[in-house]
Amino acid sequence: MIKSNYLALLILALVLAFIPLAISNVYYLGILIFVGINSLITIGLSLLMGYAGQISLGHAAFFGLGAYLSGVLSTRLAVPPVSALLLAALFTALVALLIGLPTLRLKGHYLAMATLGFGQIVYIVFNAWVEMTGGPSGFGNIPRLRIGGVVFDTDLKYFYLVWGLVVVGLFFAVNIIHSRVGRALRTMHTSEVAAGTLGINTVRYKIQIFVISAVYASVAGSLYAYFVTFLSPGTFGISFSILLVTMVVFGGRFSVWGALLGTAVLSILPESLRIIKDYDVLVYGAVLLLVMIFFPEGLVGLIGRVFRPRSLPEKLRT
Amino acid sequence: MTLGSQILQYIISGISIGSIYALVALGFNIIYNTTGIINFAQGEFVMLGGITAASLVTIFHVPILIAFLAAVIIVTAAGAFFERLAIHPLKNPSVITLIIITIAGSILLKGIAMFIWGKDTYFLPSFSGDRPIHFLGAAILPQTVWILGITGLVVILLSAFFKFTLAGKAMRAVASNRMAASLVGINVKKMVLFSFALSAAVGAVGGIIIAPIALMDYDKGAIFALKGFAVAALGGIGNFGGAIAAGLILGILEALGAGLISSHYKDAIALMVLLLVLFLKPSGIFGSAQESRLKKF
Amino acid sequence: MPLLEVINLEKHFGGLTAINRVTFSIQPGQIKAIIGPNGAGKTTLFNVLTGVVPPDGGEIRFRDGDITGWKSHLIASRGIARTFQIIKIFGDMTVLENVMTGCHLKSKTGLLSAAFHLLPVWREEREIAEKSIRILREVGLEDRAQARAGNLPLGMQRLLEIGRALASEPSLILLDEPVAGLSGPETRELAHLIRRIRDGGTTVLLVDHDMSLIMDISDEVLVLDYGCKIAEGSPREIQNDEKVIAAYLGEEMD
Ligand SMILES: Nc1ncnc2c1ncn2[C@@H]1O[C@H](COP(=O)(O)OP(=O)(O)OP(=O)(O)O)[C@@H](O)[C@H]1O
Ligand SMILES: [Mg+2]
Repeated sequence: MIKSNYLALLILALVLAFIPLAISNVYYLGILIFVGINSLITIGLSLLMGYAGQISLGHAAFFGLGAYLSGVLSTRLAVPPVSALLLAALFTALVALLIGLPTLRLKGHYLAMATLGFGQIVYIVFNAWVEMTGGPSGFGNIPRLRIGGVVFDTDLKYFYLVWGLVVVGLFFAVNIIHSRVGRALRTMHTSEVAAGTLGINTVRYKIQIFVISAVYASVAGSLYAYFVTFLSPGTFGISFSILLVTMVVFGGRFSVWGALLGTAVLSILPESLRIIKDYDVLVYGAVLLLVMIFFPEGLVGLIGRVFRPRSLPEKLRT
Repeated sequence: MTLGSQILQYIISGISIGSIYALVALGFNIIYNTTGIINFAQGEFVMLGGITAASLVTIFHVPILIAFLAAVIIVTAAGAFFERLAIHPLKNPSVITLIIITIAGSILLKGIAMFIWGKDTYFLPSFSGDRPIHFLGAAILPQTVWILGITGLVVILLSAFFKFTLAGKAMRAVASNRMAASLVGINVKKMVLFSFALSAAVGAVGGIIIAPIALMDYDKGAIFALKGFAVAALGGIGNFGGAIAAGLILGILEALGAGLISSHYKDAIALMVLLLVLFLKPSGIFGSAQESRLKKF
Repeated sequence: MPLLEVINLEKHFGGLTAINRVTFSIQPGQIKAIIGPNGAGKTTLFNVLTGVVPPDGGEIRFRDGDITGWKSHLIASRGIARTFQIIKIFGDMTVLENVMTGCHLKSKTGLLSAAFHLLPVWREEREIAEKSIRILREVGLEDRAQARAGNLPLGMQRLLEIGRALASEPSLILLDEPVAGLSGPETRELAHLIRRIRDGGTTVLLVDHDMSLIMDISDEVLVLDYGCKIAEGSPREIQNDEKVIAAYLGEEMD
């Protein structure tokens, strides 16, 4: 099963490699870059939601931490972008650990509540700490990302960078799911009691997955900062956290491929349908509710049901 | 103004905003106790109550009392409708499913509000003018008196409801033991519907009485939900007395913090309290109504 | 020296005393049975021994160390595995994956090495898979390895649960009503399997209502009634014990 995932990854990589040749319009390339950045966040989030059975309502804040830390470190302290990205990821991981340690010991909604509160605090700090963040009007002049001698200053280069990292992120996620750790996490769908009696420390894996998913978001945030080179708090509020959750649920939260699909559809559709953009809140609310009630396994589940009506549950969770 | 009367001023405004937080927290608790669900849409009931009443009064020139009642009824219906639509059909939902569903409900309600009222801000006139009452050097708005009075009334009515009415007793029975309640013939599903309607009503009242002080728009729900949440957690989730005490405490803390330290971080105070409670004492300072449930969920 | 020692163990649920100051021990290499009427506290005893619920009093010593009140995953890592009266297999995984999950304690790939999936991880996965196939052969489910566990008939699910427990290479295995719902031939098969498990070096503690099975395979029997130990001894002694007969009056003795 891991082999079919690798095959899918290979096909994805090939398709991605040729996309820029087919798309000459820079505007569309830009949208695809945002799709890639969002996908990186939702891949991590789907590990948390689909496999660790937990939900974060603060992933926009982890994304924001990655973005602001990278931005501030590279503009104000002249830290080289790659080091800034890594430092930001490390810091975000520590913050996630701090939140996850006490709350993931408890069952149910505690992580959701804590991440929601944390997300809003981070949002407030981005607005209020004007000397550092520029406050509500934001700050700019973030340098371009530079790795070795290569400066990522065109959309084409950035497209390959972002989607290259998405493929790597998917590769890691697929590996984790099909490993000892992934199996341990999947036991939680059926019986945490049985898992415990097999020596599986479910709390520990939940915490690890939460931290990893925060790191995915942080890296995505850094990529975002070096791409748009200007940051303002509006991007990082609760509504983005909820949009991320919506993407994962819509695509299918029991599969990282669902996260990718949901992100692509919900990032591209509003660009092509004005009505969605105008009534985004209404549309997302309705989509989320309908999906949860009528097809909780999301788009991937629907597609799976069309193609192989029987083997759906196995397929989904592999 | 002397520092003393200034502090008194902050405390008074803290108590009035704290009352609203307490009402939101009561709404959380009503649903939590009957269902074990944390209803993330609770803040939207507050917003809907405020914005409905405000538009009835300012656009349709409905008298305030009628607007008040109409808004409560409309929001109560919205709460019941949401339960029928989204909660009722679920069979054995996991906690994460319930969280996502109530979040979906919250953005749907917010989206509907945006559809109806647009992104404009709505203002509800004070119930009885704006001439302040002076008290020990502090100025008290008449609306503050209304807020305290109506909150007090709601609390009294709620406790009477739970103590003396059949439906109230049935809801308490479901809260303490769902299985036993259904064995003695209580219709648990109906009680779940009641709890959503009731907590929507309580939220709506909060939204209406605060609307003259805080302007209302479609986007206001989330912040009320967060604050109410912090209060419910601080008071111990499910604990009604705790919610009221915690509401007042947080309201006052927030007003003092905003006045004496920095208004930028005013909203962060309640959230910091929320995080501290979740990290250090998840059952709240007054203990949650059912600490054992805490472990169960 | 006993493998497991239980001293004055207590467990209450509200006003109900599910286990009332129970003391007993198990010698390594034994097959020991616990019997008792419905609600006697047998499953609760297993739950306490495996850390699924914490005890309210008393002491549990295993391999000469105190494990009282430990979390279940720590107890498992000391070498106690179990099956469940109400089956708890991972229904949405394959049969093979269920057993591979049972290998958790005997493998060590962590999150980061899993993410990179380098050579040692490949190798460990292959070893686990091979070991799991061997275990499936042992319990007779080899040809079902790729089936979805939830689709197996009950008898096979019980075998799978035993296989999954064996995968952790425990020194003590607790079987909670392993033959409940099985046919006569299946029960006989299982009796053989239990003996083979013991002969393989794993001590067995089992709960069941099937008296002929109990009398046939166990070295020692302990009888619980209303949470209290009312008798302990060889199968023959138990069969003739008056207190036991009284406790079972009205109950059917097969
Ligand atoms: N989690 C629990 N909460 C409350 N009471 C419980 C709990 N688990 C068990 N009990 C009670 O403890 C007593 C012992 O139950 P237990 O399941 O251990 O019996 P048993 O000997 O395994 O019975 P059976 O032969 O029917 O499996 C019963 O009265 C039961 O209702
Ligand atoms: Mg039992």
